[in-house]
This record gives sequence, structure tokens and C-alpha cells, in this order.
Amino acid sequence: MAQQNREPGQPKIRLEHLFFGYEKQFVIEDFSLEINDREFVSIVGPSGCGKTTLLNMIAGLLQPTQGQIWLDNIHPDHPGPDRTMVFQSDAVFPWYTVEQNIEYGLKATQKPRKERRETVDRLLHLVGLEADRKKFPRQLSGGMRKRVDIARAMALQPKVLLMDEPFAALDVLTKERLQEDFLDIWTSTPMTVVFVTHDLEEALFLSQRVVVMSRNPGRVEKVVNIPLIHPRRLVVKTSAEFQEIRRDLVEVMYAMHGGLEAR
Amino acid sequence: MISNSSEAKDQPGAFAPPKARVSFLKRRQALGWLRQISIRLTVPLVLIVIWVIVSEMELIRPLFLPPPGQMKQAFENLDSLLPQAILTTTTMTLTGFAIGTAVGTLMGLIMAYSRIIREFLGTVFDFLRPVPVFALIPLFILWFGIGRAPQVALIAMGTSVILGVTTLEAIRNVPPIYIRAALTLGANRRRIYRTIILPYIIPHLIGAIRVSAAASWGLDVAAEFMGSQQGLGYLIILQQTYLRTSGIILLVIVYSILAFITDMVIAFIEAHITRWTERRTSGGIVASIIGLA
Repeated sequence: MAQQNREPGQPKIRLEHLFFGYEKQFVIEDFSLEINDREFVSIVGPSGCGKTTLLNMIAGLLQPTQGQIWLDNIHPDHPGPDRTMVFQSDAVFPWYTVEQNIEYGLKATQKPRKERRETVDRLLHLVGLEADRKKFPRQLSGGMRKRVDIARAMALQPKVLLMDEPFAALDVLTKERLQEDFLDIWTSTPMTVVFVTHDLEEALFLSQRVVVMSRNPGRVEKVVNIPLIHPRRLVVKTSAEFQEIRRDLVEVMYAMHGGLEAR
Repeated sequence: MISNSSEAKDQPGAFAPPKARVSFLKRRQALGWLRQISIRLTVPLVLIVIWVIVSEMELIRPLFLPPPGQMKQAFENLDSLLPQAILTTTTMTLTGFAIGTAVGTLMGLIMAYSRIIREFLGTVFDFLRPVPVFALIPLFILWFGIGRAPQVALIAMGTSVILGVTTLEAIRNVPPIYIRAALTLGANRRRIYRTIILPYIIPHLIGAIRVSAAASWGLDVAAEFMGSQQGLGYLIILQQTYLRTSGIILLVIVYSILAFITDMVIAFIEAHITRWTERRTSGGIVASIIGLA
């Protein structure tokens, strides 16, 4: 794996004073954030803080009540193949085989057959499922299905990959392994990743920047840079530096709930 | 680049028994199969034995329950009429069933696709749905005359309602996650309908098709009771007139066999188009009961 050199690029996504919901009862209130090109940003926060809503708005599945979303220089007001998404629950189509699933977006965007085949082969290799290409999802484990999901979302070579707690439903070992593998994948592509999770450790391990969200209403509570060098291995989680950043962030999160002693 | 050997372990088919064990496993499988059949046949056999005892000892009058011996005679009486009756009944039932299935599915699909059509037709549909089809028999005879037309119409009506409702209901239950995933992958409305909604509802539709196939034989009996001049239902009425109970029982058995075959055929087709589902019933409801599945 080549040494990762990810200089912060131009802002890729700009969220300007986003509001979502009804007046006096906003789920998301005055949310502003700039995400750079090729950056890996995680958004963490308690459940119900509007993380998924935020992601759905970037995806174009939901429209903000107020405020603006910029992707490069356009407003993405409907879903597009430049922003694909990996979901928390099992969104792999069970009636298609592994390769048909990966090919889905390529067909939907009418790519020529030759290109489709090459892309599918490349992604099967990337996620390590070459031997399982003809299988149906029910024949795969949860972790393998997640790999299919990631490959499917990456087949369109999106500029932005949106991930909504993709590993939350997996057991710890499978999860850690996928985290490491996914970091490798990200390193080898020019993708910007917006990763939503409630797992602080996951966010710290994966991303270059962590955005902590508050709940009711959902706002930016704190933005933290993670200075750990990529590529990262799982052992980094045991380092003193990692633990220190983690401790600081845990305090921020507890403070939002009225301090440590309140718990 | 990435290996996933630890994950590969829980995939089916990764475990292959050594060759020496295969024959042993096969024998054990055969034994299990025999055991399965003997368990499943116990109750039917006991019922037949009770039938023999009760009727031969004339605990029940032969008019109500004729002894099994009389079945052979009933068969000889009806022998010459049966082929024509079976042909007539089967043709009529399957025609009505085919029309009803096609119309019902199409209605469901159209109503699910377009909200305007759904709201436009919805009230009529909701109103007609709970009407007992049998209540329509006199009207159908009035409109279509006596003969096959009202009978086919009745069967088609009954089956189309089942299929229409199931189709609409199945489409309502498509998990939104699949649709959202397809949207983010660049699929448009028509593609989503074709590649997400249709494949998702097919197993549900086949369930409904099996129900309506069974129902269509029932509808056929009712249809034939109303002024038909040929077919199995007509023969049943004839047997009733002559108080030939054994004949009635024989014809009922013929009906069950026909319905059973229909169910088997549909189940066979189902197993082939829904390979992806977790649920696997290859043989059909009745077949699974007698251990053929």
C-alpha cells in the first residue's frame, strides 16, 4: 500500500445553514460544514440526532427545509450516480447475484457492456469476492453482503460515497476487518467519504476529521482533526495518541448529556 | 488485495464430506425419507381403516357413507362419461383461472404504478372486493346466458380479485430501503418498477396464484351447479339426483386430484423462478404433506 498523501483539496461539499423539519421542532438546525475533496469525514452523535437525515439530504433523497447544499458548484436536488450510498440495513438486492448487484448502477446509467464487465471484475477483486460472484446474497454472510453493498456503491466511481452506519449490524471481528479493508479501498481511490456512525472509536479509526453532532436540535457541536497517518492498521486503536483523542471526544459527548456525573 | 478467509467459513457448501461418507449419508437420508413418509401416511391410513370398518359394519347407512367397495362400481358407472367431463371442467377452470390471474395481476400492477389510476379505480375496487362471488351467479347467467361464458366469467372474477388485492398489497410491502438504494444508484422510476418491485413481489404473487388456482376449482363446482349440461360438477348433481353417494365421493376425489396436479405444476414453476428466496417449497402444500416435497 502506497503511502497516502491526502492534502486537503478544494471543498467538495458545502453545507450552508441547513435546517430540516418543522419550525420550532427542527431535527437539524443551522448546520454548516465544508467537506474537502478526497476527505474522509465522520459524523458522530447520539441516535436520533439527525445524522441519517443529513446524509439523505446530501444524497438528494430528502430536501432541506432551509439552507443550501453545494456539491462542487451545483445543488444536488435529486439522487445522482456521483453520490452513492451504503446503508445500515441489508440493502443488497436478494433477487440478484453478487455480480448482478454490483452491475446494477452501471446498467441504470447505461454504461456499455464491456465497461460494465471490467468494472465488475475490478470491484469483485477489490472487495475479495471473486469466488462468490454467481452466488445469491442469502448464500453469503453478513460481512460479505456488506462487501457487495460497498462494491455496488463504488461501481459508479462516485465522487462522494455516503455511508450510513454501514458496519453497525456486524459482529466486532467482521466489523474491524471491514474497517481496515475499507480504509485500504478508500486510499486507492479519489473518493470523498462521509461516514455516519454512533461508534466513536470507528469514527476515530477511519476518518481524518470527526464532526460531533448534538441532538434536539441537530447541530455541529465540535469538529476534531485526527492527526493519525494513513494507512492505519487496527493496532493504532491501542496507541496513546488514539486513546487521548478518544478521551477528549467522550468528554464532549458526555458534556452534551449534562456532564459525566449526570449519568 | 483483501482476503476474507474467516468470513468464507460460514458460507454454505464450504463443507464437503469425504467420499467414503457420502454413501453412508445417502443411506441415512433414504431412511429418514422412509420414516417421514410413514409418519405422514399414518393418519390417512387410519382414516381409511375407520371408513372401511364403519361402512362395512353398516354403523352408518350406505346412503350417507358407502363402503369403499362401492367405489369401484361407481367408477364403472361413470367410466364412459369421465374423460369428456374432465376435459370440459379442466378447460373451463383453467381458462377462467388464466383470465382472472392475468386481469387481476395487471390491475394490481397498474394501480400500484399510477396513483391517479389507484384513486380513480380504488373505490370501485374496494367496494367489489368483499362481494361474495357466488352471489353474482344469477346476475352472470342473466348477462352471459346459460353455458360456459357465465361459468368462465365467474371463475375469472373470483381469481382476479384474489390476485389484484395480493399484487397491490405486495407492492405496498416492498421495503423502502431497496427503492432508496436503487435511486442512489441512478435508477429511474420505470427501472425501479422493473428491477426492484417486480422481482420482490413475484414470490408473493405465486403464493396468491396457488390460492386462486385452488379456489378456481371450487368456483367451477359452484358454476357448474348452476344449469350446466356437462362437466364434473354437472355429474355430481346427476349423482345426487339418483342418490348415488359413491359417485359423488368419486367425483370429489377426481376434483382433488386435478387441484393437486395444478398445485404441483405451479409449485414446480415457483421453485425455478424464485431461487433467490430463503423459503424453499419445491413440492407444494399437499406434496409436502405426503412427503413428495
